[in-house]
Amino acid sequence: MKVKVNDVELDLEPGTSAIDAVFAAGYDVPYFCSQEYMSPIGACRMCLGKVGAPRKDRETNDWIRDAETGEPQIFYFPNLMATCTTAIMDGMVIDTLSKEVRQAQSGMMEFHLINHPLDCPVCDKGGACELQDRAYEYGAGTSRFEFDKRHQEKHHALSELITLDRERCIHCKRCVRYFEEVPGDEVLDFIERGGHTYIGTVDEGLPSYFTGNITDICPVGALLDATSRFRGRNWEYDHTRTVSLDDASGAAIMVDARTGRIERVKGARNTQVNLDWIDDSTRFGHEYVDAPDRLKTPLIRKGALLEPASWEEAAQFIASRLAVAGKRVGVAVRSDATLEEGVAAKALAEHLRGHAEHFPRPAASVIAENPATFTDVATSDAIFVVGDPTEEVPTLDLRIKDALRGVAPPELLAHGVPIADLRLKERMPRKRSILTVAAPYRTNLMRHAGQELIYPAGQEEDLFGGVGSGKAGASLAAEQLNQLKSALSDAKKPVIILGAFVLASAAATRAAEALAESVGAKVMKLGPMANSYGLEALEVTSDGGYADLLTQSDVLILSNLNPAQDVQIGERLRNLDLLIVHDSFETETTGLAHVVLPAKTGYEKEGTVVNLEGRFLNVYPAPVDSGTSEDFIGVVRTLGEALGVRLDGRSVRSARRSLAKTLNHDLAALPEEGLLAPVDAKEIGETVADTVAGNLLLTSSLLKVDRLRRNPKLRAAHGDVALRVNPADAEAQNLEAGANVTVNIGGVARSATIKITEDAPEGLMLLPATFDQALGLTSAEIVPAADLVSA
Amino acid sequence: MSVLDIAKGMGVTLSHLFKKPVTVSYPEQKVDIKARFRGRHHLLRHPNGLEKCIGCSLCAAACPAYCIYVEAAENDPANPTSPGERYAKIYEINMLRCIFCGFCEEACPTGAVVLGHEFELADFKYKDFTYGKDDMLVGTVGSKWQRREADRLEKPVELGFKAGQRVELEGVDY
Amino acid sequence: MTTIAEKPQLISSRKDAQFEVTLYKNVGVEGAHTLETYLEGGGYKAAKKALTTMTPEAVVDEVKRSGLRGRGGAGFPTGLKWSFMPKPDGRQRFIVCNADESEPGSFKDRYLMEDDPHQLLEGMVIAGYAIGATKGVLYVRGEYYKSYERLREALAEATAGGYLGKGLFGSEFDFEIILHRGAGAYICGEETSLMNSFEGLRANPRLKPPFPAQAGVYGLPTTINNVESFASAVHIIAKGADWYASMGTDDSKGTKLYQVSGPAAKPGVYELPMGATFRELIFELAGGPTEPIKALIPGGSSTPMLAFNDETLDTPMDYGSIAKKGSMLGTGGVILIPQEKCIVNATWNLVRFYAHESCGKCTPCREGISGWMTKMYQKLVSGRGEAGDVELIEIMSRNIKGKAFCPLADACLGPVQSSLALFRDEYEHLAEHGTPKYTKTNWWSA
Repeated sequence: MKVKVNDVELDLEPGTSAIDAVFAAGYDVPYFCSQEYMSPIGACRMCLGKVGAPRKDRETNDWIRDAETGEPQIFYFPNLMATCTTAIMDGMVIDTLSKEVRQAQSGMMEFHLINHPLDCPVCDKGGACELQDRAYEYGAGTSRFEFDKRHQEKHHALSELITLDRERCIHCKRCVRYFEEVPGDEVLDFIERGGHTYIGTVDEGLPSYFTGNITDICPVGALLDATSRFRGRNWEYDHTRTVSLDDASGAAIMVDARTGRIERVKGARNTQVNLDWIDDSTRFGHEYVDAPDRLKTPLIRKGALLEPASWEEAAQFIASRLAVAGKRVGVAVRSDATLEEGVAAKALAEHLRGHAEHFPRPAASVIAENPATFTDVATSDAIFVVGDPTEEVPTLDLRIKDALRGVAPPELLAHGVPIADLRLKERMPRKRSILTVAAPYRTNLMRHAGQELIYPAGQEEDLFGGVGSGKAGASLAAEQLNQLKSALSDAKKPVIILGAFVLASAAATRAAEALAESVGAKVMKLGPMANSYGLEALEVTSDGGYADLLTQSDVLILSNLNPAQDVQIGERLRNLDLLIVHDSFETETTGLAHVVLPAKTGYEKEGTVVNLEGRFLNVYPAPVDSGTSEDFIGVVRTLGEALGVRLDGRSVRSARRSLAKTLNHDLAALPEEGLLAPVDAKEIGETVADTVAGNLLLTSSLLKVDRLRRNPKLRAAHGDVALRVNPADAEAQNLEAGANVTVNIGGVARSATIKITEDAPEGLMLLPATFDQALGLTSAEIVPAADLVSA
Repeated sequence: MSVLDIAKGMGVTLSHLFKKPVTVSYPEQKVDIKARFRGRHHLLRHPNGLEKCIGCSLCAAACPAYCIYVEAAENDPANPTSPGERYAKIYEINMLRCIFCGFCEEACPTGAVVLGHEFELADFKYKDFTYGKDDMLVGTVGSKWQRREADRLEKPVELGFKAGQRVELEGVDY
Repeated sequence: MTTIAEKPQLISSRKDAQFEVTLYKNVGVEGAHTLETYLEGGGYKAAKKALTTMTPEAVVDEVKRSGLRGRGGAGFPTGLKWSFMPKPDGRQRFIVCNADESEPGSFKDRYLMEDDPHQLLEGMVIAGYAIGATKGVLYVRGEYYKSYERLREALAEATAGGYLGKGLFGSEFDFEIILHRGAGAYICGEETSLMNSFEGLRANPRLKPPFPAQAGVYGLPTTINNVESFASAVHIIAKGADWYASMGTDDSKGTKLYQVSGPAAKPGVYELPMGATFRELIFELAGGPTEPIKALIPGGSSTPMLAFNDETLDTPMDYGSIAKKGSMLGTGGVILIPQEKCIVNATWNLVRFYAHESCGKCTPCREGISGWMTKMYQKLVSGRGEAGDVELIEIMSRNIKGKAFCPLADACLGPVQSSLALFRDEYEHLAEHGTPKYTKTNWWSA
């Protein structure tokens, strides 16, 4: 469609909004209420433009033409139009520069400002505030309003994580719409009306995992991140756009640091992955980085004590001990290590003639044969989820909800993502029927699903077998499974999502892949950590796996792993010739180590990770003061120097040279969207007898229980580690809600708080796993928490 | 050149013999400086005792020498440091870097930081040139060195200047 | 080709012998609200006629031909609105009755509902049949409790009598009505807000398009009309479109309920053919003003006021003629403003109403009407006005006019801008002296 904006003529797709035509033409109009991934509502009335279009004569079906010029006559709308809610028409003329329009915009700006407090010097949004910028660009510069401004509550804690200043609110409704449209948790609304309108909740807190995003989209400083409250001004932060290493989604984040401290994490835009949204754990779970007990220097064991040392001393110590130690060497890194660290680990293991491994690594491969991307999920018409994506990969939870809205991600325009996507509406009907969620317990996502299947834990293979064959399986009726199968086979773009419980069993994964092939579905496998995909693709794996590595090595080099959490393994590690632990904090394992090396966290590394789609994403380091901490590349570099060898992966550059050979990609400076290049699927691991009995299910948790203690704000908002118990079980076992207990799982003792909920099925308790615990069914014993006084 | 011209010239010279000399024998004598002289910064308080500084960092943003560092924190509502929600927990100026341009004063939205008249800032160690809140809050007289000297001698700080009062320097009394 | 001579003579005065009171014939009659009385007066015959002898298309055509225009204020042709409904596609459809009559100066629907509820129900049955809606929604203003009670009784009676329910009049048409009482928000008179309110959501206006015909109640095809429009439809079907179109003027047909309030001898609701003059309404029916009058508001508080003079009085009360004078017919609620009343105070009364009723969705209404405009008027009437205040009100109204999301803000500007245009001297007097030009306040004492 031909559109003319001021003096620029454009050809745009029908359905484009007028505001996007204006921006695509390189002009600008102010706006507050529109947000790229939410419905336009035309509430702020800032984007006014003079809009007109030619009309067709009903009889001749030709344009009504100007008598003098013969050109189609432009009929202007009687009023100025909000361009965000106006769709373009053929031949439309939009004027944003005339005096009338400018006056209207500055008049509307004046209305916005009359009740907005002059708080800018103390406002955390100051310097990055849309209202400030727009007032500067479009405002009159002076105020004619001589009355008292509206007074409302200035410091209202919406939750532990979000502070609301009601005076600053300009009622753009972005936050209210966000909760309804994006995560589907309606926890916020306008209260009162007219000039008294304010944002509020009925209940205490914001019961959603995705609340933090409203602080990003608030155009003023009304909604602010409580973890970064007054920590710095926007121009003082060092902004680092990187990738979250908290889960396998590869969500883009902006890390804002000041004077060597991470002050806040914001969502960044990756149009292919997380759009603009991140979950609360990714956003608020950064406080641990600055915890006072962070290891900042290497430690060397001298007798019973670990004593601080320099890296050179540590490296010399290791080199001298390696000379006399046994020959069986194991190197293991946690699965959120970068590809470059993986190269380093492999090179080190190779040089020491040992094995390299990454953990956690599920029994089955995380690389799918017919892999689905997030966009595939968001545009799918039949989704079968087995697992709990909200906890495992929260970004996926939101992208599944995108699919329920039935609106495909918008095509990019000259200025990027369309500002007002007219296909999106407030309170859109959701196509719940396309979503089926199966899990051993009631998951968060089931609230949005058309069909929910709760099967006995450990019977994933039966579930897929049942769906494939149409026979009853996993205690589910044949009818339900048949219905699901026909929904999947009838769909044009079916997607099957395999969570941790499926990947924990090679047999179940095989059954799932078989089902996917028979219905022509794409498969998305939820790897346990940020780079599970990449490290598997790089083959940082050993034949015996991590368990063998722990039992059959004389020398162990562990990065960010804590196997001694299990006292039985700890006993074995005590007798090693040499135990080197690379970690950010003291753990049970560092307590046994001969050398402890301080590790960088995910925010401080440079490297590359591969997300669950097979998308290569660059990770950039934020300027954080972490003492002499190093990533595993640094460990290998220093050790290499002490051993007198130049190992691959001694630097990011050398690792990337090696990666360019093995993976055929140049990983330096990838685009912001990353490089989507899935690798070929691997042979699914050996079938081991799966555990099918047990009273406890170790689940994923987006709250990352290992770090929760050092993330006080997140912990205050979401509570301690919860052991979820069915009411019937709680009564039978005499467990009280809120009681603190110790859960003994093999050699691991975990403390937890009892939460009684119907979400847990009868006979099965749910506990979030630590990074070092394999997910899935296990047996546990519950004992009351040790009395602190007597202990 | 006539004799008359010489006499005229000598007359000028002679007339100065009877005028007061402009030279000040500092430090024995106090220097007379103008009211708008820009010297060491003061952090002012409101009449009710609360600090004017709200920790907004605008002074730091305006500073061409990057010599100001501010870290803000939230006021305890029961026992506030400044009016409103925010106050400066750390406020530091590196006097070695400072060029005394007065931009910080102009940028300050609450009139909290004002350049006073003190100029005797010489000291011996780098770290002693970093002035914190305690060194600048109204009521503190003299540079760090002057105060150390005064403590040692158990005498009040003696400033080497006298100046006219400036309205902006609310509560500062030299 | 139509010539003037061939044009049928239209009646536009109640004095014409052809005219008879139709909509209001039962109003004020003792016991008229019962089904029994309604049936005695020929009730539900029109519905029976429509359902048994006419196709839905024929009903829509009949209403189209009658020239009935929406009586809620905007005057959109009712038949045309009905024809906008999409083709039946199996989805539930709704006919909604907007009985949230909250405009100051309008009180015609109230008596229709209190004294003749069955007429409204019958109208809804006909409309429901015409557009293929099997569910009707009757959204009654929260304060109209008597109307609500009467309608509730009437619904029970009609359902028991077989005039609502399944298979009406032996046809295959099912129709039921959901009676919903509002909670007292003026904004719910705006059709999309009404639907939001009915759905249990916040009463904010919705974005148009999609119009209610595409996505109305619960996102389903919906037609929404005023109480009087439904009542008129009954008589159009009963007596034929030609009869209806024989009354009124070229652009406005039929009869209309006009209301008079303010200092008139007999304020109240009067039924007149469209195009009757203000003079006929005010002097002949309402008994003339009891005080000297300086202005009248022609159609409910949101329409711009007109100077009270011979020219205005001789203006026919139809859509076109009043629009030519720069105002609107609106709901036909005529408000007389006495000479001795301070116009700033009178306007402030209305501004206060609109400020209170603003929903808060869009900026010009929330910050302009509900915030700044209110404060400016408060300042003026409390005697603290200054030079420049009147200009500021004028500039502010220009900045709001036509820029708000829904018509509420513009409705407030109706009295503001017109009073400024007509009585600027009074504003300036108040701003200058701090006291109004007309100081009379004891309106209620003898």
